[in-house]
Amino acid sequence: MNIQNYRLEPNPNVPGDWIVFGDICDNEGNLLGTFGPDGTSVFGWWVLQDAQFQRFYSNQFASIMAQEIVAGTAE
Amino acid sequence: MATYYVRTDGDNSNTGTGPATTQAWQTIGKVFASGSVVTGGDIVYIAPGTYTESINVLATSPTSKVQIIGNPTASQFPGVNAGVVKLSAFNAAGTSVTFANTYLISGTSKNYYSFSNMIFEGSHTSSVSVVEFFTSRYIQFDKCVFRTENAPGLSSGGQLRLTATASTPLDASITNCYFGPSSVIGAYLTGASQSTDTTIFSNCYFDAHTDCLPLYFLTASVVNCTFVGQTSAILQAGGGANAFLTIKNCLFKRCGTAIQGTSSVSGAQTYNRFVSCTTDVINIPTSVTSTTTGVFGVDSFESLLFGLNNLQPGTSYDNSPNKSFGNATGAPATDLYGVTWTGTSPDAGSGTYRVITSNPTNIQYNGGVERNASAITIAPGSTSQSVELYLGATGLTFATSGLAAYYVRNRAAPTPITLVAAPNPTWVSGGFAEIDSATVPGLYRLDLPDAALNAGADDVTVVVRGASGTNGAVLTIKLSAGGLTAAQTASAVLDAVASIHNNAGSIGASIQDKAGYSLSTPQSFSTTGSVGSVTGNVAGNVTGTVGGVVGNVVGNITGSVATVATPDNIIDGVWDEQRTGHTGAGSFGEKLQTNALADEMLARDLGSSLNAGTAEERTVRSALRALRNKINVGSSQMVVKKEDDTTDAWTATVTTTAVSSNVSGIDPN
Repeated sequence: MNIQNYRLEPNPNVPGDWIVFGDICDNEGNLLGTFGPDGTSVFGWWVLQDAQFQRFYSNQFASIMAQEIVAGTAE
Repeated sequence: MATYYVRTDGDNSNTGTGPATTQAWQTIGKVFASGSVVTGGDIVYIAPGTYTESINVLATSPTSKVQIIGNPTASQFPGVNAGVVKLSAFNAAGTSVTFANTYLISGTSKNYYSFSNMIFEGSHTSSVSVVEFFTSRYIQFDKCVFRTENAPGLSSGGQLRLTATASTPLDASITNCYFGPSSVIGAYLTGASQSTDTTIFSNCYFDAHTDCLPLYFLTASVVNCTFVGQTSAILQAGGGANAFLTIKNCLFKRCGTAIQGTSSVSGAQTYNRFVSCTTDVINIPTSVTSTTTGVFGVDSFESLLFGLNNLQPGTSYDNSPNKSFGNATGAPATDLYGVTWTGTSPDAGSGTYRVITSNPTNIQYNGGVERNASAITIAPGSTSQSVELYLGATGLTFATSGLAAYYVRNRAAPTPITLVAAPNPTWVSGGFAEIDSATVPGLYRLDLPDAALNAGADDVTVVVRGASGTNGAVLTIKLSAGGLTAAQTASAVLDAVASIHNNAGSIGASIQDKAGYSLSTPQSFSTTGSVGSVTGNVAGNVTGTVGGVVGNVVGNITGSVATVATPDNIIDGVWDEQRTGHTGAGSFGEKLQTNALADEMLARDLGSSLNAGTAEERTVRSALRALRNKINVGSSQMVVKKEDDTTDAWTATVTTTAVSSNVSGIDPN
């Protein structure tokens, strides 16, 4: 799977959020789908995922968070 | 161009111009210190060892290449054990050291430094890179290992950081390198948006990073690299039309995003294999030469586990889908180990299949364990004999400190061998020399003292050891006549050539086949056996003498005999043989015996031979007796005597008439 015309833009309405733009293609370049003409909000997409998915990725961030807390760089 | 040396037991007050302890520097930092004598074109060899240093490059930037060459084999350092060359944030005991600065080596506006054969072992205690050169150009790394330890959960920092000077190409080269797992960045390069930039990554293996190759504002090629377990493998950012990534012949395994460009015209990717990646390509165009099908195709320890040919995890296994997947244009000629691509085209990824021995025990560590060669056999009493011994370490000489040699005959007390230089190829007792450090490194010639091989012992064991870098070599020599001298060997070979090895077309057959041979100089031959036959003609002459033919010539001479050198001898032989050898009754030889014919004529009867030998015989002899022998004449009888004038030979009746005087007898004198 490939993404063409990909770009990220800050969500002007939600601080810290990003909007993903791009065309989703197969390996032969055939268009499979898009992120929509207005793009897809990361935060909006995130809250729609099931709990198990969110738990898996949150777990990936835990060690980074811990490191920053210890280093005093966490907000 | 000068050459300098660094070793852990050197001294920075030395000149650095020699490899010995008393010559070499002690720290790598000495090379980069302010006022360093190392300049463009120079070479610096680094001896095996751990260099726990944090180096701030303060030396004046070179204007041409300075080569910093790790020397793991210690070939440049006689007496030093082989081993890795590490610039490390850990001491030799493996304990992390806290530096004032957190990098291992860092320079700003320092160009032309080239590193090879080294390990950069960092400790991420803060978010900096292990090796970093800012606003620098022509920085090179070849056959280097980057790895970081003790850095769980760190969110930034990296293993290699290079940045270009504004409006100047970076022109960096990173080849045949391994970037070990890191929770942060692998190599983070920032260019200056220069379309002429020649920066290249080739034959590199990247193992598990969060952001593996962030390449910002950079034109670069990434060729024949392997990316495994990367959250983001190649991430391009910035640069516009002047930043272009060429990604070719690469292998991506289980990456979140394999390639991410800034726009659809920011790069090209061809001949890549994407295996189990979440997203293969973002923004950069797809290519029909790339694929997502098939398996990883890389040896995952199986050849070592199973004793198969390929002994290098991380390279393509036999008949891997990576084989010949790539394209040769712009690709390196070999893989990261210097092995020529197995297929007709380069593999995808950094390592090709390698056909080497299936026996892992054949992997020998340079300078490692003792070498006990199999026993050899030499004939007792042989002289001027040399043997080969494998000592592992290279660069040893007869004068190397600690090196000693002994021989032991039949478990008696060891006898020292005084080592001397060996003038190749001449044998000299105790001669010792490395045979060829390039082609057979670690192999040495030892000229054995003749006394070691004297008769009187069953075996002699030779030991050479004591030098740093080798545990020595042991060679047992069986003293047996089975071990042939050169003369014995030559004799055996020549004897066997004609007698055993004489198949058609062989030298032996040629020796046996005398056809077409002639002798240009006189030779003395003796044939004690028989000559079977001569089926052809003997066209020439025997101009000398033939000793004799003891047996018979049983055949015939159907042609003519051109000449006989001494015909009188033949005539004499014929006549003499008749009188002496062929004298049987009735033979011509018998008639030729002395007086034989005369006697036969005397005994011949005048008329017949009926009364020969009797008183009545009328032979020539009896007739002649009357003329020569005594005759008694009586009145009525005449008696003719034999040659003794006594014995009667024959008689005749006498008839008388009256006469005046009678003959009474005739008696010859």
